[in-house]
Amino acid sequence: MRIFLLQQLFLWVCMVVVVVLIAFLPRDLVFVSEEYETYGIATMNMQLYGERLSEYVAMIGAGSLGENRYGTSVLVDLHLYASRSLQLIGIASIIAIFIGTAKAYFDTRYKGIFARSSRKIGQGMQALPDFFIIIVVQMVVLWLFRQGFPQFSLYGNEDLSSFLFAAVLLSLFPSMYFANIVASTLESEEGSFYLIAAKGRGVKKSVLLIKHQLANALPSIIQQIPIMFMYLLSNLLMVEFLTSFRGAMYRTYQAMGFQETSLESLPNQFYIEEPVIVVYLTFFISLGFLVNIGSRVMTEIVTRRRLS
Amino acid sequence: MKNLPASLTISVSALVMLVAFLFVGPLIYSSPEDQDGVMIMNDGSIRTAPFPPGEDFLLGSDAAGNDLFGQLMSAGQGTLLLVLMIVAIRFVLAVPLAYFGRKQKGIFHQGIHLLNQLFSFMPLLIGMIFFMTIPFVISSEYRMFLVFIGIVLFELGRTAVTVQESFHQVRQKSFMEAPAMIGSSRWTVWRKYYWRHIRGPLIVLFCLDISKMMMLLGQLGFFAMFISMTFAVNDLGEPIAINAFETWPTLLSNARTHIPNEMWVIFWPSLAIAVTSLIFFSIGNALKTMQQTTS
Repeated sequence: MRIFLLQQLFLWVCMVVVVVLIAFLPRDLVFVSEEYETYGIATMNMQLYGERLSEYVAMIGAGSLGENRYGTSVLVDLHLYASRSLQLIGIASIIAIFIGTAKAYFDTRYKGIFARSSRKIGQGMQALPDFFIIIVVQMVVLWLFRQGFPQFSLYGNEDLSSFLFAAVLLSLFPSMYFANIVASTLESEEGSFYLIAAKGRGVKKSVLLIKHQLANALPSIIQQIPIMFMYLLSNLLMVEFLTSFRGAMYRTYQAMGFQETSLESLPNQFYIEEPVIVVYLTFFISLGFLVNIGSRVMTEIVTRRRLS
Repeated sequence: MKNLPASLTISVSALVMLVAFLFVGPLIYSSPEDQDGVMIMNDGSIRTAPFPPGEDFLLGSDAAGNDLFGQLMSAGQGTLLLVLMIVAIRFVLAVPLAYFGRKQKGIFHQGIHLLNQLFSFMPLLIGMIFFMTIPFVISSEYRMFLVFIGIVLFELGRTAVTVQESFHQVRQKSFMEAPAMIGSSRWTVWRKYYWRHIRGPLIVLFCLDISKMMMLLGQLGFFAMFISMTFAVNDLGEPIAINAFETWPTLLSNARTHIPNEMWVIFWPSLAIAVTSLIFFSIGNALKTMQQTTS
């Protein structure tokens, strides 16, 4: 366990260093037009790179993490956006775990046509890109509005309804993923001797599923949570982007300077906020780190309790 | 080849239909004329692009007034090619790494696990965007190549670890004692013992990875992260990025301007991505169940 912690800590430090090294590469992009062709030229100036890095390190040494483009401290910035995103992640995770477990229970408890097709739909949903699901849900809701359904706000992050809408969108993909994991681990327990023995003694199937199968499958389910969490973070960017939710992921993308890019135009000027990029990416890496460790500790606890 | 499961037959024929549609379709179908984004109706009223799906445009048009259906067909080939190439390169790299790490010790084993764990901290999408906005990657002549390397490396560890796991399982089977006893050469062991058992799971993994890769490329499309782009200057003398390789994801790059009133512009390309992704996913799944029932 101690080795695991040290190893994870080492990886965390590695990732943060890589992020800093990449973020502070000289970012002057010059465009040169010659006759009919335009080139973008980025020159690698080692001296400038070194200066930028040492400046940043000196700033951290002085106890500041830097400022965003409006001159406010990055931490204030992070606090504002990250708290929104964390709430979103929290609600979505709770929904995902709750719905995922309920769906998995339904799928394994019953063998009828409904349970089987629900299982198939769950698997199929996993193959569909998250943005497709988000777009379809939006189209359906907008169609309902046109049919006279009471309207509520879908976009932005000010209203409770748009907040909940984003949370529900975010939870769709992880709940299907979670349901599939739980269902397949529950099924892998089937056929074990203790189940046959319990069945023989006339234990109810629901009791069997929850008290025995789920309890036994818990360690392998918890081990899968970090992977689910990474999917959730990638989804988060998509959801924040498509619902105009001003959250931490969207802020990171904005800081990378390509925010208004489209097929027709580059931004006139790249507003790249290196300190913001570093702090936000570190924030996400740390979240992954914490979830990894949390899942490991939980697995340990659950396994130990089962053995004792 | 008897007793093929119905799901496999359906998904493979869906794939054949899709490929035929994408390769033959553009030859037959001719897009309605580009009207510079403005249409003058019979009653004298003027409509501007994007045009909704209807008589003039089967699936509607994009913001420049180009027919979406025609664009979807012509961009499909490039998309399939791109995805196949990325996943194939990843497998070409991952399989040898996994083979050398099959004993679950040694430098290859350590290497792929380090790679896997390192990138398991970073959410894939934002990590890729971070990589693709490095100035050298933006302006490089070899941008396409660099982006390829980036996408391949990001998930290489995960793929290699999965493949390594199946190598390890084959290694522990009792039939592996036979070549050791009769002293077969390494090449024979690889060809007749490992490859025969590993190719089934590899094909499954390949199909599932294609499905995932379609999703990643689609997501990158929303953020205007083009795999390949050139630059030009617009009328005002400002530099602009031009996408050099038409794929489905690039059709999504102006997504936010079309939400919520012109949803069809982004709906059709994402539907195309979703359908392709679903087809490969179901082929992979069907093959997996087939292998499980035969073994």
